[in-house]
Amino acid sequence: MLFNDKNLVAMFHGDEDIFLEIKADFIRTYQEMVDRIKDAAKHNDADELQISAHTLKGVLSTFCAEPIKELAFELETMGKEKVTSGALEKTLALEVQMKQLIKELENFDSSSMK
Amino acid sequence: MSNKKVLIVEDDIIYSKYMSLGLEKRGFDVVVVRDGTEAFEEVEKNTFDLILLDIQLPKISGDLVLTKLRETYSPFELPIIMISAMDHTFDVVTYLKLGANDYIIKPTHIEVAIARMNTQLDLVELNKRSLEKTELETLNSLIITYNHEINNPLTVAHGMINLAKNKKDFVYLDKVEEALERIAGIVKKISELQNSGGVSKVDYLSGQKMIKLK
Repeated sequence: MLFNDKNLVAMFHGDEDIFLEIKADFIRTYQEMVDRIKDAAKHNDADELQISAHTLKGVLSTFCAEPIKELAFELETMGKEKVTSGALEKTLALEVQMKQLIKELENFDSSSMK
Repeated sequence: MSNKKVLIVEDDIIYSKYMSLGLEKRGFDVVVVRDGTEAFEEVEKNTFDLILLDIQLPKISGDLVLTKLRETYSPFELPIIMISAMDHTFDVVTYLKLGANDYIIKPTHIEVAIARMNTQLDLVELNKRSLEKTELETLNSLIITYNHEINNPLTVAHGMINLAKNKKDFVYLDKVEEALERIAGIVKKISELQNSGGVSKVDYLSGQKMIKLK
């Protein structure tokens, strides 16, 4: 699993309604977030790479998706250090993992959060 | 009792929604803004009981927003709790020195955030009551001071005027003049307290205090 389900349940315990709402927001908007990073990497825009990766990192943190969060952090650091070489490949790897994460979240039974 | 009003300054849409929905569900009124400029506009228009402020914001960084807010609001007037991501080299001491009341590391569970927020809100309330109590004590001390310092010479002046009237002798008027000068001196000392920067008190009677006049 690409997210820690125990931590996620603890994070949203008693607030399944809130979890379902922000999960829906995330599923709807994740591709836009990934595309922002991809565009930044393609255009060697280090500043935008840093900002867009930072944004995604924060969201992944809320969903307790540590491994992908680390990948987003690496991209954020690359942007901060003005190193864009290799950023596109990393972003494509991130995108694959993101799709997998979304599938897992869609199938996740959140009833234990009640 | 009205709900406490919280301003969240956070550009992470998902986390700010988690916090705002969680806080609203638990009885807080919440406003969310995405950057420092919007935060300044909101604080100008509305009164908030507490601000949750992300350290990493677009346009103006969290530390600059904090510094600017602290030019107007002390930590006791408007508590500000910083929000930091776990992997930041988050210099806690720096932010506390800049005037932050506390911090949370995201993703922090909503109940932990609320516990920290309530601690700050309770401290504000405690401070407010302490100031009111001090003001009341100072006012009481001032009244006692006036009564004690001015009453005596007033009594003397009154007595001397009566004597002067009864005995039709102007010599008693010197004593009246002395008493009135003493009263004028006391009034002047009390007026000067305004510029002294503070008052010290001395014990009076039954646990009461009066203001010490130099």
